[in-house]
Parts: sequence; structure tokens; C-alpha cells
Amino acid sequence: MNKVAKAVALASILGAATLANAGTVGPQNFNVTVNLTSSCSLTAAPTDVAFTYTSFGGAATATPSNFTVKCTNLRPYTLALDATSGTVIGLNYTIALSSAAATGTGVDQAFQITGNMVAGQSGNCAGASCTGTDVRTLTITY
Amino acid sequence: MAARHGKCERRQRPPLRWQGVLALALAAGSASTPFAAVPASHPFRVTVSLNMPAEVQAQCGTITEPGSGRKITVSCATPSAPREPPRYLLHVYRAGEWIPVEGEMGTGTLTSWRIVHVADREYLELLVGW
Repeated sequence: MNKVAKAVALASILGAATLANAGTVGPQNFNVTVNLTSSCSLTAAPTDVAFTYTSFGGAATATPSNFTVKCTNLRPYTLALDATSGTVIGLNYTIALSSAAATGTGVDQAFQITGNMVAGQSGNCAGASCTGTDVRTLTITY
Repeated sequence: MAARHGKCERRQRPPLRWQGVLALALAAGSASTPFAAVPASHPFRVTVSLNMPAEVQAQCGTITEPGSGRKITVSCATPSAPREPPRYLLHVYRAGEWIPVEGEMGTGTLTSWRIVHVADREYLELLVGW
């Protein structure tokens, strides 16, 4: 062998020895952890519950309030009103939610707040017509 | 290659003192999150528009029966749409009975009445104010 051939042969032997010493490490498991914080939000705030009533008239049904909620998929939540009845300009009304509880789907879910007034109420009004407003609160708990 | 792997591991792993803090934070977070009930509230308005009913007028009146001083209700009714000229039904009390006299007369108060004999005929004279 000439000098070059000897050098190549030596390098091959050294390389083989190095590989034999390195070996392999077996499969190693590792965890991928995800910490998901559930969330709910009102994607469309509730619109007004609007009554139109004639003094001493028949029962009135309000134009319902519509709103949408988006919650984390599978997350249960509840809906509640701060009060289900009230009085505005001397007229008693009741309001109700279309649903008191639901489970999140990850997309918008639509709900309604309906309102009613019984017949035969007078109301307080010095003029030919009057308007009044009450503020109620919708609470979503999740 | 092995040297590069080792370098990467050293870079990704936080210092030991921070690992302890991180582990504590994760433990605290995992313990509290599943039980937390987070309320989200939003106000909304309940508006009421109150209208007066269509105006209903009733014509009610009383008349004093001549000679007695008693008040007697003579009519109370919802008027029909006015016509031109308006027509009214006048009730006149005479000799114990009410006599309807229809004519084009305005609503008024019968202040006095009398029967006048002229040439063998009786005339009813009414004085009505309005």
C-alpha cells in the first residue's frame, strides 16, 4: 500500500470504532400538555325588550331581545336575569329567557329574552303617549 | 451532532430556580381553573311605549224635571260621526211622559217650557240654552 491507501484504511477503522461506541438511545416518550382556559362571551349584546301598550288595552307581547353567546366547546354555562319582572311608567311587565342553561359549541348560540304585560293596566302618563325605560342585566356564568 | 443537541437542550431548559416557580404556578393553575365560575354580565333595556286609547266621548246629560227639581239622566251614549247639519233627538217631558221631538237642534239645556193656548190650539214653547 502506498501512503494514501494506508491513510484511508486507518480512517475507516477509526470511523467504525467511533460508530460502534456511539450506539443508539431507545424511543423516549414525552408529554405534550395543553392548558385550555374555557371562555364564554356575548358575541351579540342583547337588544332592547320593547313593549307597546295601550292604556286599559289587551295583553302585550314585547318585541323580544336577541343575543348570541359563544362558549368553548362542551363548556356548560348558565344564563340568568337580575329580575324577571319590573314596572315602567306604572306598567308591570315580566321577562323570561328562552333558555336558562346550555353547553358551548365553539360557535355562536342564539337566545331570546321575551316579555309580556297583562291586560287592563292603566300606566302613568300625563300626555297622549309616554315612554319609559328600565335597565336589566343578563349574566352568563361558566 | 451530539454536541448540537446538547447545546439545544441547555438553551431550552429554564434554570432550576425558575423550574420550581413554573411548576408551582402550573400546579396552582390546574387546581383552580376547573372549578372557577366566571360570570359575564351585560345590561339591556326594557322600553315601554304607552299610548292612550282612542278617545271615546260619550254625551251624557241630565235634565231637571219641570216642577220637581229632581235630576233625571236623560241620555248617555257614544256619539256617531257628526253630520252636517247635526241632528239630535230631543226628549221632552210632558204630563208624565217623555216625548221625543226630532229636529235639527243643538244640544242644550231645557231651561223652561210651557203650553200656550191660542185659538183652541196648544203650542209647546221650549226655551233651550246652549
